[in-house]
Amino acid sequence: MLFRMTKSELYRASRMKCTYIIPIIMVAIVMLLCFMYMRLDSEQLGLGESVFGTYIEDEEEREEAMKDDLTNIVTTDEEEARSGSLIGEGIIYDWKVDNVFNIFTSAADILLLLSIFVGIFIGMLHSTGTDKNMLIASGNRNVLFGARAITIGLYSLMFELLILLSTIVGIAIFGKSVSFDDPVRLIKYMAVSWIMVFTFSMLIMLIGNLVRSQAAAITIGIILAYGVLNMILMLVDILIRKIFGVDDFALSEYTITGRIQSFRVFSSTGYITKSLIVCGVVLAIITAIQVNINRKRDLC
Amino acid sequence: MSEEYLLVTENLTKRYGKNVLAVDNVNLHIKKGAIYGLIGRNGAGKTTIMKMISGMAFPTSGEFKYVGLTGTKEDAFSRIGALIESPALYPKMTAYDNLKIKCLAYGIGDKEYIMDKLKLVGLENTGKKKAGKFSLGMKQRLGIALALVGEPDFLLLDEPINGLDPQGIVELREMIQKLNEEKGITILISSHILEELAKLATDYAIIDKGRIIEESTKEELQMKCRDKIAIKAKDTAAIVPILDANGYSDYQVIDNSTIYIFEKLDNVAALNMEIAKAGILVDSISVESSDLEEYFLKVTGTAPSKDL
Repeated sequence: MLFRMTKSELYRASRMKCTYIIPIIMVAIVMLLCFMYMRLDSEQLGLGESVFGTYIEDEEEREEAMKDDLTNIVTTDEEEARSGSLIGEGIIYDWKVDNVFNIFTSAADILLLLSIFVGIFIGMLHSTGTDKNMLIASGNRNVLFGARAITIGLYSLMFELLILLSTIVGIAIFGKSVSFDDPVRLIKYMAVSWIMVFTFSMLIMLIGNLVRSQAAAITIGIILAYGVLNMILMLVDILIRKIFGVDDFALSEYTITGRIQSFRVFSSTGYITKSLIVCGVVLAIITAIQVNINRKRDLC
Repeated sequence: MSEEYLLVTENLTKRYGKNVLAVDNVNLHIKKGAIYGLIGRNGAGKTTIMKMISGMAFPTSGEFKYVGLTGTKEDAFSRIGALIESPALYPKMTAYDNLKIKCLAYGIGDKEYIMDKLKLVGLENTGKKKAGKFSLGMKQRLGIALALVGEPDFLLLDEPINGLDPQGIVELREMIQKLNEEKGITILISSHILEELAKLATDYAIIDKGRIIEESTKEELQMKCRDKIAIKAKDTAAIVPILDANGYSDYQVIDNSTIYIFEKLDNVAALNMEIAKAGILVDSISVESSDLEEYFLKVTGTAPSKDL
């Protein structure tokens, strides 16, 4: 039953225009950024002097500087690593696929675009009432939920793969040569990144089901993706620190968007484990809420 | 519970909030192979009943059992085809795609099957036209085609005639009859066009303000709607020999106080005389006539006042 429902949901997704338009936009963004970061210098970009030092004209010197920077990143602690941006002078001087891919997957764009897809994919069911057709076919709302989760999971995986592919193509076109720093680490990074992005998508799906509106789901997705929530969390952090006297507490460390945005290709095993635990907890909460809705709420 | 039934509901109740009682202790008995007409005004609770028995809404209390279908309730839901309220369509997809999505959910990937369903409802030539651009009637037809995917045993049609032109209504009626007779599909149909319902249904339930006022077969309802002499008396049993003696054979004793006579309607005065001669007191004797619509208005207490 789950397989049949998933097939049906995949077919539905395949007949939606946004299924194709959104990845095209993502590829275009990746290509544009590749071009900007790899072909334009800081003056052309109007970025002025970098906080990480002046722009290095000579290619060899630049590569040397990149190595130093990377060594620094790998050897320092995580917080420092995060501040050691791979973008020097507004230009990527480490053209390795791992690092460029990292920049794109931790950006808000991927979350924003996935929010739009999930918002439309789920919201459409409520705005057209077609959920009732599917419910009768499946006879079980939880199976339907599972089928939609699988579809969204596959879509977000396809999204990650597409970003990787377009990053490689972008580097091949605008960069010097395509090379990988550590392919195994990249695969590991991609898998964890996908799990986090999938969890975020599931959150948008839950919101879409709760509010029964694609517009609301997309709007909330944008709010989450662009860190508006983080501002609220920062205020909560201040309160928690004051009330409980905890100095280094940050609620964003325990949110999906916070984890996605601070996740790096060189993040430690501890960081990855913590991220997976956060994803697991969030997914469990999402599933529990959705099952509860399925058990109690009537279809419109 | 009798094996001849497909669906039985027991005190099915649906309450929205504290004040709105949409369905109030409804007991339906839908026989296998029947075309069951649900008659009621807008807001009477017809759609809510259909939603509950198809799993779209949860009853507040009471229950329903698909006694005529095997497996769990969830299995039974997948044996249902439903067109409830407006047809649920993806407006930016073609009729074919709309059907294919549901077909895949049933494990049907056959293109011919989908084309057959489109042909059945006369939408085989819609091509790439999006469902959102369809006329109301076309949408309704597509909704029916969707309901027929998976060859259901039980078809729920909520106001299926809405938006259809006269020819479409005739075609739909013929299709429903065909599905019922040839494929043995049990059909629950609601409509506010009672005349149309009367041409189709084999059983009826009249619903008003969430309550079932009356559940009857077509024959029983026809009997009630026929022109007749209605005699109200304290002792109907005593009147029967008088009727027999005077050559009346087409009559029915409804209860202890009512008899309906369906012949010699212009002999009311003579009959009254014969009963009086026997010393039986008659409370009232009159000729009554009503069609299904009048009957419905009468039993729901919504008939227009004669004084007006």
